[in-house]
Amino acid sequence: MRAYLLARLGWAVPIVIAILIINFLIIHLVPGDPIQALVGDFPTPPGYAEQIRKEYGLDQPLLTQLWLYLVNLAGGNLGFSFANRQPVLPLILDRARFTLLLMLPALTCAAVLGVVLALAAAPRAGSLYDSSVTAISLIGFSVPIFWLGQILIIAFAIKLRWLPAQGMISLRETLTGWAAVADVLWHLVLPGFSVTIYYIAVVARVARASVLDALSQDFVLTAKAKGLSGRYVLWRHVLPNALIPVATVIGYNFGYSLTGAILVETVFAWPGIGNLFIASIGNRDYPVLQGIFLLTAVAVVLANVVTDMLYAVLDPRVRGSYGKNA
Amino acid sequence: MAVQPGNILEIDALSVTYRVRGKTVRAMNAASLTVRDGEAVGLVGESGSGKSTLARVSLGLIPRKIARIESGRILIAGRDATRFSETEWESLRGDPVAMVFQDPLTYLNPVMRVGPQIAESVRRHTPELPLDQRVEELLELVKLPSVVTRAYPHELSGGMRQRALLAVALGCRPRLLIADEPTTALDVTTQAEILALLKDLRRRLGMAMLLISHDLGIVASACERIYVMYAGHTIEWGGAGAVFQTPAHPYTVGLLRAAHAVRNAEGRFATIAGDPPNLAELPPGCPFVPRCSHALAECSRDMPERFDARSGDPHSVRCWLYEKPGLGFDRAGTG
Repeated sequence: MRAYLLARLGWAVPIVIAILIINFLIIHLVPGDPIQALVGDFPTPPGYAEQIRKEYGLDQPLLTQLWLYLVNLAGGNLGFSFANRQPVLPLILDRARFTLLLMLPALTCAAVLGVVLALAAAPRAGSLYDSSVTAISLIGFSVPIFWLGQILIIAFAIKLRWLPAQGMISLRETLTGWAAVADVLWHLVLPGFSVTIYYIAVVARVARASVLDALSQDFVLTAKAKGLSGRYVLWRHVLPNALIPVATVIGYNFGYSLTGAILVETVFAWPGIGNLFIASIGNRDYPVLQGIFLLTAVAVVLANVVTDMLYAVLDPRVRGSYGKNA
Repeated sequence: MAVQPGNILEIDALSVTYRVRGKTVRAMNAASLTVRDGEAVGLVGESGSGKSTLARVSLGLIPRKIARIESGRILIAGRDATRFSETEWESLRGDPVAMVFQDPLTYLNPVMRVGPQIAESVRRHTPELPLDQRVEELLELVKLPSVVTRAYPHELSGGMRQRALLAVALGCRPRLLIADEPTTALDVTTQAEILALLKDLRRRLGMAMLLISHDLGIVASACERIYVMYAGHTIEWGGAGAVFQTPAHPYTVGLLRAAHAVRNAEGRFATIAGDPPNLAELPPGCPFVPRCSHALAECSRDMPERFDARSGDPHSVRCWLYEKPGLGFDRAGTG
């Protein structure tokens, strides 16, 4: 098990470094000048723009800039955000919390509900219930998340006035303690629901297929031949075998969830990473964008490592492939 | 037919069809088979002859969506299970009838340790017994070391897996054990071990066994009575010695010659001429007609109920050649 873990982590390091360099280069290919964005379209004294350019080291050759960036990264310095006038690392970490607050519950709910839906549908493949689950998950999968978000805002925030339309906290009052928590949860309902619907659809589709596959396996016959009930066989024998593809999908989406929330965060003005990302593109805020890329890359790679770990937990044959004592 | 006491399994003129891609495949055609308590019965036939369907239908394990029982009856320990629901079948599975399958790797749950898979049988059928001790006993019974409880199926050899699968079945305390090609996936030495174990267990536990195989030798050495299946029909049945030494149906004769690797006049191995029939387009009458060199006019019309095979033992055959006294064909020299 330890050898397996080390091998997985060992592969992750060069991938992160490669992503870093590629991202650094790609972002410099994008047209637009950050100094221009910072100074604005006002007439400025000659040499002012050059002075700022020099101050941020943007006059150096590209390779030198890359080298400086990597050295700074090693020291935990992700640079300074022009637009936000603060260091990138704390800025990103601060916003990442809000994104996780939105995505973690949504993904967890989606994983559980998606699997339960699939477990209920697959044994009755072809039935009305199964067809409805398939149809609904196809719709949930296909509906654009920003459209669903806006429909929800129109219905529940504007017409019914049950839930807040935007933001994470009520701006007009200063709440503390449990009231503040309740206020955040209140704001979480609509964006959380939009995200959850999408991920339920994603999980249910994969889970249904893998439950169907597991149901057709020979060991299900053995379990039934023992006289075990259909429900017991489904939960104890079919589900553990069906979870492996499901773990892949959840792990994959978890890795992307930090930036995957861009659309929802924009629609609901949720102050997470996605929101910061869009703002930083507008501002040509290179260090922030690079920081977000780095964070996403690390998150995706880590999610993959965790998914691989999960495989080993779910499937003893994966563990076995790294030696008996691993 | 009246229910006879002492019959653990009675399949009476059972016909089963599968709907596959719009076609109806006749897997079993009025096949009959009886297993008495404590008796070892063999069922032989080539691939697609309906052996496995017969095994599965005896436990209600045929896929309900595509399979249909057209006619006939299944009686298990005297109870008519022909129209049983899935829940009713659950009460018959394991005890009184348990089953071991062909491929011991795919028939064990790959992500569950062997111990818990055996323990499930024990908990379901003998919850009053101490669980760990009973699992140990079962492993001992199939001659596996107790460390196997903590192993996963992929960590065991083929022979060990088959023993584990056997322990799973025995954990149910069955009165009848159906073994569907239990040695086919194993190498020859392991086959012999598993077969010896099956014979030994049957004697010690006093249970009945239905041993299904395409291998006549295996069946003949382990069973008291033999049934031969062809294209979903049970075409011949009787004492193992009688069927083996004096086969009656031309198909059985050919099968035995092929199995004994008898060379014909040109020095080639004996085979049965022609191909197995297409089960989706079975003609009326005996399905062996197109391959039979002795076919009579009535053979293409219908299949006889049963005739005495006249081998001196209780031995029946569904072949018109045995209708009149005096055999119309030479048992030894046909193919």
